[in-house]
Order: sequence, then C-alpha cells, then structure tokens
Amino acid sequence: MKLVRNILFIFLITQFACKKPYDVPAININYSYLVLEGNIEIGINKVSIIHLSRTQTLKDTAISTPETQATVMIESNNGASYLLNETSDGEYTSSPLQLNNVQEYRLKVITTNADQYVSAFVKGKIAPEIDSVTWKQDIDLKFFVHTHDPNNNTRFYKWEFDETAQHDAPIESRLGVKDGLIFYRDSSTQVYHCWATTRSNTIAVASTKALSADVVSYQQIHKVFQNDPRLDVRYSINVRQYAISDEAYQYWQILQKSTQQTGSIFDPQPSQVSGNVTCVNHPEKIVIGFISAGSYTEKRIFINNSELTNWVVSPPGEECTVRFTSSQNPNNYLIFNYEDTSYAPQYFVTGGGIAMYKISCLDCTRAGGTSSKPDFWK
Amino acid sequence: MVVLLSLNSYAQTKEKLTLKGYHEVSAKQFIDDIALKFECKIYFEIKEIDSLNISLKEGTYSLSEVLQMTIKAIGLQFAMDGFGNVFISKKFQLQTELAAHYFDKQMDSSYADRNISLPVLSKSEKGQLNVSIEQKLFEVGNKASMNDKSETVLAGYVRDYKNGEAISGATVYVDNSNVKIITDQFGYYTLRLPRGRHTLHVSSMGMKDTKRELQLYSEGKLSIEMNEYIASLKAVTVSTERKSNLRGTQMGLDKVSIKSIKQVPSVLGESDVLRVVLTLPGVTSVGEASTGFNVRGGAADQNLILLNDATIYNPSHLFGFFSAFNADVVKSVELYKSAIPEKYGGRLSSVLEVSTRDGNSKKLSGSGGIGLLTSRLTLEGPINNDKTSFIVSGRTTYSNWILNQIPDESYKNSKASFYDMNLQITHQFNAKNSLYVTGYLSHDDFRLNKDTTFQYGNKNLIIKWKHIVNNRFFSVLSAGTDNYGYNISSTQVPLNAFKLSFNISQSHFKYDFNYNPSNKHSINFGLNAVHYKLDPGTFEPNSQVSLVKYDKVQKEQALESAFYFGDNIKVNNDLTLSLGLRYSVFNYLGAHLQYQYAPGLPKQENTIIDSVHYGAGKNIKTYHGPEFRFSMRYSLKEDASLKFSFNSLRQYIHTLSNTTAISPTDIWKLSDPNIAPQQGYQASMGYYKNLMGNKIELSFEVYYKWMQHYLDYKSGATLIMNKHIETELINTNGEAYGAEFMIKKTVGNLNGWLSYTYSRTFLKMNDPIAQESINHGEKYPASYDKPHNINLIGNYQFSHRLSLSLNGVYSTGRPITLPIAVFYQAGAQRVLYSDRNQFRIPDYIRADVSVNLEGNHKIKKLAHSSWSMGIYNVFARQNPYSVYFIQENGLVKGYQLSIFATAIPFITYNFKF
Repeated sequence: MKLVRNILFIFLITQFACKKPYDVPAININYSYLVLEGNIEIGINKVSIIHLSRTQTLKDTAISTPETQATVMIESNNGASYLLNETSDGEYTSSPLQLNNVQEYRLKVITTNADQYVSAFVKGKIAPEIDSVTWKQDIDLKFFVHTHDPNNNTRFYKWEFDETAQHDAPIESRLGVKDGLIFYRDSSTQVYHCWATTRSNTIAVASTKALSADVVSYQQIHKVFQNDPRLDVRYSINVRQYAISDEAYQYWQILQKSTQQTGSIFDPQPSQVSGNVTCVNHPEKIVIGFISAGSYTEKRIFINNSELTNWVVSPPGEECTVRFTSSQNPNNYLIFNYEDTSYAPQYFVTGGGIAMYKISCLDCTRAGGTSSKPDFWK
Repeated sequence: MVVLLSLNSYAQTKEKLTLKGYHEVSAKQFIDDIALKFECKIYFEIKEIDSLNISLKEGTYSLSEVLQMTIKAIGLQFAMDGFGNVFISKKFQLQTELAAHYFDKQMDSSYADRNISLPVLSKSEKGQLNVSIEQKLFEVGNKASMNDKSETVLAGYVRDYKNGEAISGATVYVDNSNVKIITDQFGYYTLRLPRGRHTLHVSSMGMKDTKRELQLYSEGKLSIEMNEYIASLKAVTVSTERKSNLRGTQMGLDKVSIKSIKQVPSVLGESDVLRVVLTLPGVTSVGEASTGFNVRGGAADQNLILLNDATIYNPSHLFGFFSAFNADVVKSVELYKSAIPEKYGGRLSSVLEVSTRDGNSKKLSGSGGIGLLTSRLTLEGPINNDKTSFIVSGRTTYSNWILNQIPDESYKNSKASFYDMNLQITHQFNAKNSLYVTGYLSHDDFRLNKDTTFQYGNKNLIIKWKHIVNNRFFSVLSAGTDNYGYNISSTQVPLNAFKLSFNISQSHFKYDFNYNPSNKHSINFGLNAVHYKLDPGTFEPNSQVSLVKYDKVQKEQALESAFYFGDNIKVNNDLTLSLGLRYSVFNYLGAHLQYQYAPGLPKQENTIIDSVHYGAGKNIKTYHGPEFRFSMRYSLKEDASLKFSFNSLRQYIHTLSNTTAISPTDIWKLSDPNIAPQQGYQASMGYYKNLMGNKIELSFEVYYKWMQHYLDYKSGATLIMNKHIETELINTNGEAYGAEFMIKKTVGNLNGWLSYTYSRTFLKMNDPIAQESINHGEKYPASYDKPHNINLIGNYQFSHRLSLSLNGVYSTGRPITLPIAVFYQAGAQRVLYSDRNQFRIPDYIRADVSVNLEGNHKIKKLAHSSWSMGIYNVFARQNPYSVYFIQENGLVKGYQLSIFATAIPFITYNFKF
C-alpha cells in the first residue's frame, strides 16, 4: 500500500506541481529598443513635445526608461530643421514653431550611442472641430465624442483626453500653519478643494472609411466605473481630437490591443507593433512609435456628482475626529506647536483653545492633486 | 460431398437423445442439427439431398433410429462406422470397413458446396482450426460450367475463427496471379478470377496466415476463418503483411494493429491509440498532452478522425493524457496521409480511421484491465443466436476518489476524471444484409489549477447497413449524429463566476457503393452529406451574486454535401493507377445575422456597412469545387516499388485555437461569406524496398504541399466570445514539405521500427486588405512547425510470455511568439512581442520502457491475464506542455507547465475471460 501511495504521490506531484518559471535568454536580454511618442504640431506658435524612452526587460519594475541627451529635431522636406530641447528626462520640446500643412515633416533623433533614427515624412493633418462630447450613465459612466468633416477628408481620428477631478477634504479649515504660526487661508492658499489631472491611458481611434459621410457619432472614448471617487464632487474631461493617416490608424489599433494583460483564456493573441520610424544605421532594429503631424481641436465638458444616479460618495480614508488643545502661548495665540505634528488647527474655540483634525482630514493635497484651481475650472 | 459438422467421437452415437420435432426442414439443415446433437460426422453428397425436406416427431431416439426414420424414409441409404462417422448415399449403402484415409482421398476431390463451406473440425485441436483445412480442396460454384474458362467472381467474409469477428484489412491473394484484394471494414472481399484451380492466400496482422485450395467453377462464396497467431500475441505486429507495402497502390497509408498499440509502453499502462499514431513517420504533436496531432505539416484541425465513420472532434481525455479510444475495442487504426480515398473529404491533411471490433459471435466473453488510475471492462457475445453480436466497453478513472484520500487540502480542490463507453452491435439479417450500430460516449471533467473547471465530451451514434447486391456489387448506407461540446467554468471568485460553453453537432448521411466489374477495375462511388450546427459560445454567470452578463454568439449552421467517384485500375502487373474525383458543395445557412464589410477595406467592426438577417434554412453563401485524387504504383522489382500521388482537398470547417493560455481552448468555425474554405494540394512520392526476404521494410517518402486560405490571427486578436470573429482573422497561404524515412523489422525476437521525419511548414500572409503585415509579409513558421522528429519503437521477445518494449521520442520544440520587452506608450505599459513564431520551446525528448508478462497460453484456462509494468519518461525530463505568460505584481512572468515532469512507474493487470 505504501508503494501505491508513493506512486500516486508521484503522479499527483507531476500532475499538479510541474509549473516552473520559463526563463529563456530571449526574455532576459535587454533589447533596449527606442520608443518614440509625440506629435509634430502644425499651426501658429505651436510647441511640439516628443518623449523618448527605451524598452525594458519583462523583469524591470521601473515604469519607463527615458532616453536622455539625444539630439532631436523636426525636419521639413524643404530642408529646414528645428531643434528640440530636453526639458526633462526623455522629454524634448520645441520652441514655438510655425509649421504648415503644405510641407512634409519628419522627426530625426540621434542618440548618444550615435544611432540615427528618422520617421517617415508626413503631411500635417488639420483636425476638424469636435461637435460635442457627451456622456451617458447606465451603471458605469461612458463618454462619447461626435464630430464630422464637411469635406469628407479626415476619415481617421484619434482622441486623447485629460481628466480633471475635484476632490474635497473631509473637513474644511480656514486656518493654516506656516513657520509655526497660524494664518488665515484665502482662495489662493485654500486646501479644501483639490484638482487632480490625469492623462488618458487608453487609445481611442476610429475610422469612417466605410461610411458614405465623414461623420463620427457616439464614438465611445472613455468609461468610468460606477462609484469611482473621481466623480465624488465635480469632474471634467478635455478631449483632444487628431486627424491621422490610415497607417497611423493601423498602428494605434494594434497598440490598443497590446496591453500588459496576459495569461487567461480571454486574452488577446500576441501582437506585433512597429511604426513609421526606422533606424538609419541599423535598419533591422525594431523601433516603436508612430510620429504624425497635425493640429488638434479640443472640447471640455463638466459633470457634477448630483447629475449622476446612484453614485455613492466614498467615505474619507480615515476617521476624522476633533481634538482640542488650549492655546499654549498666551502672548501669541497664533503660535501652534502641538506635539502631534499630524494634527492641524481647524478653528479657534470661543473662550480659548484650538479645535484640531488630522492634516489628512483638512488638506486635500494629501490625497493627490493640487489645491490651486485650474484656469479652465468653472 | 460435404462433410457436415464434426466434433467429438462416437460416444454419443449409441446414446438416446431427446429431440424436438422437425417439420419440413431442409435435409441439409436437419443433418446439420443431428450431427451437432449426436456429435458425429455425417458425410453426404449435397446434390443428392438439396431438394429434400425432412420431418420428425418429437421424441427420444438413438442416432440410428433417427436416420432410419428420416434418411431411409426419403429413399436414401446410410452407413455408420465405429468412429462416429455416418455416410449417406443415394444408390447403395457404403461399406464402412474402408480405411479412413482412403475415404479422405475420395473426399478431396468432391468436397463441394454451392454456396457455403464449413471447416472440418476435430477435437484433438481443442477448438483450433484444423490445419488440414488448408489441404482440402474447396469446390465453388456449379460444376456444370466446368469447361468455361472465362473469369468469374469469388466473394466472402474473412472472420476470426475464435469469435466470428470480421477481419478487416486482411489481404486475400492468389498464387500465380497478381490478383490481390484487401478485405473491407466488414471483412468482406471480392475477387475476380479465372475459373479453375487456385491457391487462395489470406493474411492479416496478428493472425496466422492461411490458404485455401480452390476449384472455381462459377460465381460463388467462400468465407474463410483465421486463427489468432498465438505465439505472437501482443508482440509481433505486422509480420503477416510483409509484402503489402510493396503491393498496395495506397501510399502514405499507415496501418497499426491493436497488437502493436498494446505493446507500446504507455502512460500508466493504458494502451493508447493516438500515442502510437504519433510514432508514425510524418505525424507530430504540438505538445505532450495536446489534443491534436499534425500530419505532414498540416494543422490539427485538418485531420478527420473517424470512429467507425463517426467524426470525433476531440480524440483525447484529460487534454490528451489518454486517447479517447479504448484499446480493448479497437480493431485497427488506419492513417491516410497522402493518397486520401475519394470517399473521404472535408479535411486537408489526413484521415484517421479507427475501427472497432465486432462482438464475439460465438460465445460470451470479456476482458478488462485494472491500473493505478483507470480501469476498463469489455463484454461481448452473441445475442440470441450467432447472427447478432454485441460488444460493450467502458473505461473510467477513480482519480477523484484518490485525490480525496490525500490529506493535503490542495489536492481536494483538484479533480481529474473521465469515462468513455463504446457499444457496437452487429446483426446479420442474411448473407446479403448486415446492420452495424456503433455508439460512443465520452466525458471529461478536469480542474487544471484550483479554480477553473474544464468539461468536455463526445457523443456519437452511427447506423450502417451493408447490402450485397451480388458478388461484384455492394453498398453501405450509413447515417448518424456526432456531437462535441465543452464548457469552462469558474466559481472561485463568486462575483466573477462564469461558465463558458461551446457545442458542435452534426448529422451525416452516406451512401457508398463498390463495384468490381473486373480485376482491372475496382470502382467506388457514392454521396455523402453533413449538416453542421454550431453553438459558438455562451457566456453566463455561474453564481447567485455573479456580475457576469449573459452573452451569446449567434448559432450557425451549414450543409456540406459531396459526391464522389473513383476507380482503381490495374494497367498491368507492374502498374496500378487510382483515379478519384470528389465534388463538394458547401451551403452556409440561416438563421443568421450576417455582417457585411465595406469592400476593399480591412474587416473591422467599424467597416461593417450592413447587417442582413437571413431566415432559418436560407442559403447565405455557397462554395463548391472539385477535389482530385490520383495515385499510382509501379513495381520495380520483386522487392521494390515506387509510388506517386497527387491530392487536392477542401475544408469548410476551421479551428481557432488560443494557444497562449495555460490550457488551449479551441473553437470551431464554419466557412461563411467572410471566411473562404481552406484548399490544399499535396504531391508525394515514395520508394519502398524490402530486404532480407521481406524481414526488413524500408520506406522513403517525400512530399510537397500547399494550402490556401489557411487562417491565422491578427495582432492582438481575441477569439473567445467574439461576435465578429472574421475581424480577427487573416488569410495566409501555407507551404509544407518534408521527407519521411522508416525502417521496420517485422519478424524475429527483436522487432519494431525507427522513423525519422523532416518536415517544415511555413505560412505567408496573403490578405491584401488586412493592412497589418505579419512578420513584414515574409513567410514564417506555423505554430506546429517541428523540423526534426525521431521515433523508435523496439520490442524484444524473451519468450512467448515475456517481452520488453522501448519507446523513444525526439522532436524539435514548437515555435512560439515570445514577449521580449515592455515599453511605455499612450499612458500605459505595453508588451512587445517578437516576430510571430520566431522562437522555439525546448526540444521534446522522452523514453519509456515496459515489460509485458503474459499468463500461460493454455486455451482452456478460465481467464487469461497479463501484467504490464514499466516506467514512462525514464529520464524524468521536464518536457513543456504549455508555455504561457501571466502578469504578476505588475511584471510579466513566463511559466512552463510540464504534465509528466518526472519518471512515472506504472503497473496494469489485464484479463480476458
């Protein structure tokens, strides 16, 4: 019986414990291919921003490896070239340029290891105006874009968007502390209202090639799941619309599917992404990125929490209970040196003393974002 | 004169027996019966009695009383000798004092019957066919036409003497002539011969060769019974077909007998049909436990797998650990890989034909096996009379029960169980009409990791009616239904609990005719139709609180019909041609909501310009086309031949397989207005030579194959629950070529085969409107492209009871598309994959050994038993089953899953009663 047991055990081990890491050299090589992202902006006094980075191994935990100290320039097919300056690691910004949609432009990059990359020459495409951005809530909140090109000339669209969400601190305080002294907050120093802006991390593209008219309607570009705290107070989405080429459309469509999800039966098949950039001195090298030229149009909308149905406002992250302290310094009641530095004053108690809350209950910046109201916020 | 029945000595002849009454039964039938009851031999001249009827009242009589009251009464004479022989004559009573051998000599020249011949049996052989039957002269037909020298037809069945089972694939040939025929699946043969004296040779795998001396007068029947080749039981495999590789016109046909299947060491002692098929040249598998196999660079869905003509969509258990065919009921396995007969169609690469045994028509018997994880039991026997027989077999695992015995909690969460059942009923209405019913049922229930359960099963039923019009012409009418379905479910996270199911069912009809107008021609024609019904996917919540939304991909149905005609022409003794034509028509039928895409634009959801609803049964799209089958054989010398074949095939049903996950899930998809049928062409050539008096067979075949409209996937395609799957597919052209070499030693204590296959398969995107270009439009290896394959099967027979088997496998690892890097773009981290199929998983290497110990071979033993024990994967190599990548804590990690990652000892007890 013992033998039988052992044999069974072996069988079970083999059947259920035979998963081992698959570590092939091909996976561990750091290919370090160049990744380009950005747009050559067409128009009067437009600034183009290009981001350069490198691919990483599957085991690299860093979000991105920026490519620094490269020489980046926009070249025109009439011979003109415009240098971009590295404004932060891997981010290259042009000075305000007047590029037009008559000339063709390309991006040229020379990296520190003397590799030279060029994108294909592309003609700038002028995006038509966005007709409207609308939203609809079934359970989750969906955003749609509507546009059209009266000349039936655009056909391929790409959208990016910024989301800005207002989030308020659980408790409003008119008092602040600076250099150990309490001061009265005004609209420029308030920390009750905060705004956090995030860039889109999804790719939204559409084609009207199959349609008789160049009309996009009810194109979903974004979805926010029910009860997302970003809609606790007031939320705004700013949609930028680009007109792109057929090739760019294909590129973004494949990239759209190339997420990092993998492993389940519902997962997509492997995808191959390339783009319109090649390495001049090593043509076989993989380069990722598609550099388009054009101008964009944009549209912003706002949504208040009160406009939504069944959108439960999330409770504060921690309990906010009041605590009192007597004014420590009778000479200067503005001096604040409470021993627990995680507390801040909320108001002066009539007859002396200060009511306090944890800073995280009073200062919305602790939950991210900025307390200075964006210009566009209405 | 006929010698009618036999048995025993004269012990019974003086005894009185109680007989039931006879009323006007034919004299022959009566004598037959009496001989059996009194256990004597009765000799008579059939012509003298064939018009006579006999009646006898119920009562108790001695043999002599019976004969007195019947034979004498109708004016015949009889004589009895002291050895239990009775001689019936018309004119005068025979003198029984004559020496027995004198009589035998007399008989040799007059042993004849119009339509039937029965073997002489003698008790001394203990149930074995008397060898002397091979010396007897069988006279077939009407003597009156003796002087006619033209050709006539001889037909009949070849059966196993022991249990009356039909022997298919037996070779029947005649001395001094190149006439040679292979019995069909019912064991039936038809030969066209000149009238006169012939020696008929019959051979079949695992059976003792036999022969019949034959005097052919006119058209007639001769059924032949063969004995099992006991000495080679579960050992020698193909020795009796030694010459057939040279003589057959068929090329690229591999035939495996169940005996050779049983001797190959297998997982846990379970004989495995598919595993043996995988050792044949030209056959590869994508992975260890993969459900499919690839033939000559074809995809797994390009194989038509038939169990007695019923299509088996998933031929494996537990994702391929065991094959779905129970070796106890399998009679033979035939794999057609190049010259595919015109009667088969619908798949591009191969036809695997698995035939099951008929039940024992002579006595009730059984067999079975007890292993560590599976047990099987087979029962077979006649029903009521020897006209009807049945065989029923079942197989199951008790691994669930065992898993629950293990104290470790994690094992209790796992389960692995399967069962399958086979049923075959054979009924012979009369000499011309037979009915065959086959049923098959399989079910699998498997939890691969803790949370996801996979279930799948096949259900098949087929009824066949064989009608013999005359010796030259017969037909087989068959109808049946096949069903395959699977579901995947998970309940681990109640909020996400889901069940995903898929189902395909088909009803089919076939009317097949065989006509042999002369020995130069053998004509096969017929028609067949398959009605497909697919339920491509249902996704539903699987718990009370599940948030999964019910979703369903609309059903589809289609009709595939075909007619075919083929002729096997013997031009002369050296050259044989086989010409076939098949014309197939495919109708994609409603009800269906059909999407239409803007012409000239890539098929994408946003290029849908219209959707048209077609009513139930309405024809949506028709595809049709001819398929050509050609093969020829040319004999170079006595021991060598050259074969050539060309084939074209069409396939209207395709598998879409997600191989990147832990466990592949396959969906079948019909051709529709957006998906064209696959077309394949294959040209192949082979050279065959036998050495050392046919003891060693060498074969060398090369092939080139091209395919059109093979489907591959766009980048990032999602296949599961996709309502416009055509938007994820691209058309490719495929190209495959290779060479196969095999050396086989068929006789002797050491036997087995060694095969080497070189095969390549490349795909090249051919989809001008798809826009994206896979691997820059260059050709790339298909996901089952495995260039080098070596298989060794060796068997050494120490004695009649003890044998040792060795099985060795090597193959190149299959291609894989690897994620090679991650990058950040458009606000998210994304995975960069290599070019498609540019890397390979590790090579596959495995060796198994097994020892078979037979019980003694005493025929009279109540139950015969054998032990089989051995080790699977002796070198404990961790061959990968699947390689997959999952995201863990924000990092993409690769894993390799090996199913049999260590050496697995096994022991199985087999019995037969």
